[in-house]
Amino acid sequence: MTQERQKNYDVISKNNLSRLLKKVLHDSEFRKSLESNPKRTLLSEGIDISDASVLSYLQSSLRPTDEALLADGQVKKIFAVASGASILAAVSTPAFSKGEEQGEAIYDKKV
Amino acid sequence: MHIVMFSTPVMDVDPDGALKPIGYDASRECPPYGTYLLATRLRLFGHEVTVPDLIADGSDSVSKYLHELSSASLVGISATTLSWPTALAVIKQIREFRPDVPIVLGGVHPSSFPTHILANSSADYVICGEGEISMPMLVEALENGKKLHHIPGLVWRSENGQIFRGDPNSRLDARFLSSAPPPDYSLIPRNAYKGLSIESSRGCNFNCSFCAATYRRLWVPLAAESFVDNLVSLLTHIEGTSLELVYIIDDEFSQDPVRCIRIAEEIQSRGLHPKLTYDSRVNDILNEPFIEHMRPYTQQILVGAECGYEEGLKKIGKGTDLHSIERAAALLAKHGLSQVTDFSFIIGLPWETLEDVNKTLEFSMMLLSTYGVRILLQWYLQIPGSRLWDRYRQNESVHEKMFDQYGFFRNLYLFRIGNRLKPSEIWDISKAVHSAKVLSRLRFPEKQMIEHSLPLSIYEGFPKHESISKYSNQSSITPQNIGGTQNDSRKAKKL
Repeated sequence: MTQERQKNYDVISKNNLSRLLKKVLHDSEFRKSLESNPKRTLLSEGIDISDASVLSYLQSSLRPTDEALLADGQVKKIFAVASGASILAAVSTPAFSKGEEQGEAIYDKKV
Repeated sequence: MHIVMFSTPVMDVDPDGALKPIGYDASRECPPYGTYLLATRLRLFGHEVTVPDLIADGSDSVSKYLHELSSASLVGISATTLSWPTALAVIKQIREFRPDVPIVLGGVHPSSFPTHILANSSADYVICGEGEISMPMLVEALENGKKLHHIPGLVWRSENGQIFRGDPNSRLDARFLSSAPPPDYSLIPRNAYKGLSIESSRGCNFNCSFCAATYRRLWVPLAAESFVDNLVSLLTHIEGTSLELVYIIDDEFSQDPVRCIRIAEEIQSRGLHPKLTYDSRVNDILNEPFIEHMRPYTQQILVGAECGYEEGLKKIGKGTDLHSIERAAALLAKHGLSQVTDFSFIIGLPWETLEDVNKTLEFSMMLLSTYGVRILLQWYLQIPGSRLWDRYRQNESVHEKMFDQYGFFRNLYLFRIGNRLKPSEIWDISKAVHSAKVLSRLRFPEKQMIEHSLPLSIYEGFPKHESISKYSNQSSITPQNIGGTQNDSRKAKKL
């Protein structure tokens, strides 16, 4: 991992991520607040995001577009279905960009 | 005899109205194992076999293969439930070009519904279950005008339209599987796939309620040495793939962790370096030596966790508990495998309330944030073959005919019949998971750690929340009042 990527890995701690994930699952007001002002909302949780590229990513990604909600149809279990193992369903078509599929970091470019 | 054996990709109509491969077949992970395996076996019996690999082509068109079809004495087509609409399209094209050629079907879907399929398509034969014994017997019977009744698992339609069934097909045993030659991948188009497929066992000892695996409650393994022999053979062709991955397609590779350890030791002793992807179970991963031995060769693991609450795990019949799931994630993290492990969860199971789904979401997010494993969240849909399907089929809520058309997994009725949640709740869940997906990148920028999609049937049938009132006063939802598969509306809508 490059130094820049390592830095981004440390943007938030394990505990903070755990707390945030729990909160977005159950608190729709928190989600709305995140969508409209991620920096201020995260700061209210004690998380200060100063990296411009990270903030830019949050601002552009947190508000869910239809495309984003439907984008991850690359459901791995479809393989299992195809080989007769399971019954889960692919619910949309695959839409990974090449970069995403190859595991490329999405905001690790220096701004 | 010249036999032409078609593989069939899973396809759907895209937003622009074009028919395209989807899911696993869109990314062309690995070749269809059964088709190449049977082709190899038939060649051993002296037959000429060609394999038009429509998955590699990414198409349902047989037009490239008219030359092969013109000299074919028998056509074989393999299909799953998801690829069944493609198989129907292929049958239709073949019949237009060769009304006379016998067509035999195999695979999970024809095996499940042979009489329905023979009554509603122009195929002549279905081989139910494993084809290694029955297919050569059918070819011999057709060549020599023999009777068909003794062929295990064969169902056929006579000239007067009557459907007959041969002897039951019994399972192949471990000795047979261990001594059978692996598929000959020499004819696979170069770089068509990311890797090659191999099997180390068939079936599963469990009988989870959602699972449609053909052989449940009986797991038949290859001997470790035989599997590695086959692996050596496969690796001679691996350079012809784009990522050189080896996909172990077993329903349950790690059912016997001690055998897996022997496999790993054998791989090591022969100096092989395969990049393996496989499915495993939580309880198998708790056998730490298994993880330690497999680690150097593991490229990707899929762990079916399924539920994030104890009652759900019991209802599924998963044979594990939340504590074990978490311990498995911890062990994978300890051995540096969490980054290559996907924990798969099902949401919207027939009995699930919003509260149940939230428990699964919360548990899965805990695994992600604490142990760094990836999370796959998948909405439940009724697909034939499982205990849950059987229950719905018995009370006539579903029918196998519903899987004849492209896009059945976007069928709103099919989705709603197995799911108690309100569409507005499904939208909310999808938005919450989306937020979690974005936030998880703050800690894991390298990778998308959560995979989830809003079901297309809900997107199309209940766009956002405003349309809910349109349906809210209906006492029941049927294919008739919803419109079934909605290709037309999808074409009209740009996502």
